[in-house]
Amino acid sequence: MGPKAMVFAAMAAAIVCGAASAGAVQPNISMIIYTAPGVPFFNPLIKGAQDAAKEADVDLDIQYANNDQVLQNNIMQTAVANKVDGIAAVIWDDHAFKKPICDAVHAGIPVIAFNVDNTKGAAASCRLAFIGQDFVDAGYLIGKRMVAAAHLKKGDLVFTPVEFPDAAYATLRHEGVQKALDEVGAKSEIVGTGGNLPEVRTKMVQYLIGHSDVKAIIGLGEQPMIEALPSLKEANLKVPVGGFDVSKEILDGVASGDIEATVDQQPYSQGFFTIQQLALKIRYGLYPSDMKTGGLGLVDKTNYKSAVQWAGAYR
Amino acid sequence: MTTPIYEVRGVSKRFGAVQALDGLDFHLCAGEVIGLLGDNGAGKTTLIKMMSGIVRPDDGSVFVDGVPVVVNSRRDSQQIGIETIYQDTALVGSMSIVRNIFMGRELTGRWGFLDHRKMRDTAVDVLRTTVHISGIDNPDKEVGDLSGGQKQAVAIARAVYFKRRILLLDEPTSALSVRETENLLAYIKRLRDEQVSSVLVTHNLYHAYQVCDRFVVMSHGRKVFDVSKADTTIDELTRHVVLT
Amino acid sequence: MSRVSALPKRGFNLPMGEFRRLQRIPGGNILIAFIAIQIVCVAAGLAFPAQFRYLASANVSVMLQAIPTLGFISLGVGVLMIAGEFDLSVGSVYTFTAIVAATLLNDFSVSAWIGALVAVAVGAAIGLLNGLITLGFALPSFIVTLGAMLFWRGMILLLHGALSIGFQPDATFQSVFGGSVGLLPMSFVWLALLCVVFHVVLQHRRLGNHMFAVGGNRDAAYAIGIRPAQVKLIAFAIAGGMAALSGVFSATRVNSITPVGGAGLELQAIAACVIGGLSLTGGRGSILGIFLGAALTYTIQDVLLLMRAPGFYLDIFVGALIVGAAILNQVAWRSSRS
Repeated sequence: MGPKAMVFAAMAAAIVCGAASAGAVQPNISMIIYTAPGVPFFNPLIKGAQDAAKEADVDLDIQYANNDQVLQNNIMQTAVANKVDGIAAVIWDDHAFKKPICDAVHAGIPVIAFNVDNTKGAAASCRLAFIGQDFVDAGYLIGKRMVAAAHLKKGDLVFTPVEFPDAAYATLRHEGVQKALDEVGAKSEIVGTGGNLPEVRTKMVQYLIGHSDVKAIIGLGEQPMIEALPSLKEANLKVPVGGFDVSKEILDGVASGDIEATVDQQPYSQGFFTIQQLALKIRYGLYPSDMKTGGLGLVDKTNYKSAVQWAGAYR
Repeated sequence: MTTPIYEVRGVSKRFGAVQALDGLDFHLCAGEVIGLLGDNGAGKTTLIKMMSGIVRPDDGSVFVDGVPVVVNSRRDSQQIGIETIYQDTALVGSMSIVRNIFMGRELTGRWGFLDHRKMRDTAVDVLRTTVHISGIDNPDKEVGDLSGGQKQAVAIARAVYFKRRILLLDEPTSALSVRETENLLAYIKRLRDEQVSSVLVTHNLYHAYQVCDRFVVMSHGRKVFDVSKADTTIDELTRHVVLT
Repeated sequence: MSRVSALPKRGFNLPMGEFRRLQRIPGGNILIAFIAIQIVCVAAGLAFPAQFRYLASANVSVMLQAIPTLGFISLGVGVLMIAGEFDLSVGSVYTFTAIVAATLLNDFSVSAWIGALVAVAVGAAIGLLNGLITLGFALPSFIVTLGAMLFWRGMILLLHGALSIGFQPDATFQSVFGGSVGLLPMSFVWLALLCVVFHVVLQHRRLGNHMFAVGGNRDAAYAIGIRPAQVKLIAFAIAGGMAALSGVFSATRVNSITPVGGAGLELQAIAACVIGGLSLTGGRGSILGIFLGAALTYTIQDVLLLMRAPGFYLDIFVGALIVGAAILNQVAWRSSRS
């Protein structure tokens, strides 16, 4: 009886407290991060969302889908059943979230996609807007910069490592990079590194040892960017490096001049404007609109100091 | 002499460095109760396990009613009509008494579904009539909760219920009370009258002398003495067990 | 404990009797806990229908859709645990086999029906292979299936790559495995059906009895004429097949499979079984317990989502639930003996 009574009491208390706190008049917004909790990339994004929630006076809860479509479906459907006022979600799969998103929107709950949209955009989904990086444009931007920095010409080989080569961000970023390389006739080769840093480095070093004619590295994701300079050192090469995302290691590289430039997708903005737009939609019926975060800004030697200052919280 | 119902000739079994059976000859006639004696490590349990089919001999041959047979599994020995009460009782602690008794030989009704009621009734009956073990009030009790003697009673009940021609008993009385032991020995005698043969492994020569018709003493995997009750005394048997 | 139970003894004679009777059936303790939690949730749902929307039909529907994913896997893992072995590869098999079905459908125009059958057969074959290696080399299944977990996860990436794959079966398939009858999702109907079948096999067929025997004491079962290897191999195949079935149901529900999906399901399934009163050493457990273990895990998740608790609370609560349930089962087991 003892443990049973305790379980009983705990559940009862939890439910009653939850029910009581849910009774406030603030609009409720559920935000679903698609990874497990604790991925550093999402820290500024969550801070942005929380700052916006405070400013717009909304009750924000953040859920994690652990890279599991079934779990994300459960979370979204429960949110709809729970009649929250708005949902923010990463549409990281083209098929899996169609139904819950449309169900939500048809039930009058606005849904905004952030960070990653489905590859076919607005036409293939009921979401009202997407707030995140334009992967192709961003790829073209850093591609152009690297063509100039490495004096790339016809036939030159560029190494473009990425964690998951088949993921949407990888293919679209590469598409943009390749567009810039095509203008001078340079080639590129994608290598999948996985997301585990030691393995990333092993793969990159092995590739570089086998391809000492590489003229530049353009890292399409954060992990290969972090490992780019150590890998070059181990492979005894020195070529210009550029790519995507911002972290302490990448900014150190920019500061020392070993990394030419990096594209910042500004996760803080993704979180902040997603929640702001949802709040405006819920409160005043203002229709949300797409937003390309990061725009055409590169982080390089001229402006990295502000990035260093705000890294982790806002960058 | 009549043909033995069961006979082994020249069987050997080695476990690593230990020669458990070493060219052993052994036979058993219908309605005969044999006392299998010998010190620890003499190979008695190995012989019992070999006869039960759960240990395969490396060498030697087995005859049933004079016909050579191969006994490779418990199922083979079951077909011969051998039932065994193992020294370690071979019971599943997490299962009920009923399920233990019928384990592997469940009674089924139509379409192969288990006939729980029939098994339960039979178990109650067997436990009450044949073994007379006190303290088993509920056949649905888990065997893990029983005392050593009660466990042995369940193992005995199982063997007794399924007995056909040969009953092998490996130290069956070690956990039984005096009265329970008397009951069991009396039961073995009764089975002999029904032409069921038994092999009784025991350290207690008085128990053996009480029920057995013939004694086989083993040492180091060999038979060192084979004598019928009429030709020997407890003292002589003791000498052979202790000295060889 | 005695103080608490001594008080109401006289006044509540009948319910206490019922209570004891419930406690005695296999999985009874977890059933009592489950009913208690449901009463609290339903009461809260009735008291605060606007704030705690537990009883909203949409919520009931999503709960019933969510339980089968873990439910199917736990059934297989549970049967294997009863037979005394583990399978840590079910999470990988869940994804691998679903991708097999989807690849057959997308690239080879094989119908989803045949694809699903092949997927379940592949799952059972992988389970069988785990069993053959485990038993053939006398290794702990924990180690063998830990290897299998990594191996098949790797095979997914090798054969398919890291990209998600769509699974859009024909309308009949979709409605039979992903549709719903009224409020009841078909996946839940199938799970309930399989629970009944598994219960009958475990409690009323020889095979089930042999699984308990082999899991409880392998040597005794062998000595009495049961073939432990054969029984365990069947259990291994069931675990693999059920993992595949769960994968197919999940893919049908969300019309997509992601290569990293299903990771962690193996431990969730073992957790659900432990919550449901199965013994980690084998030979003890019930289908009712397995089902309730899976259902309870998701009830907790649902309640937290409805209360919009921060996402990482889930692990805290489920973690506490596992240990709490283990303690409850242990205490109840001891008291049933005294």
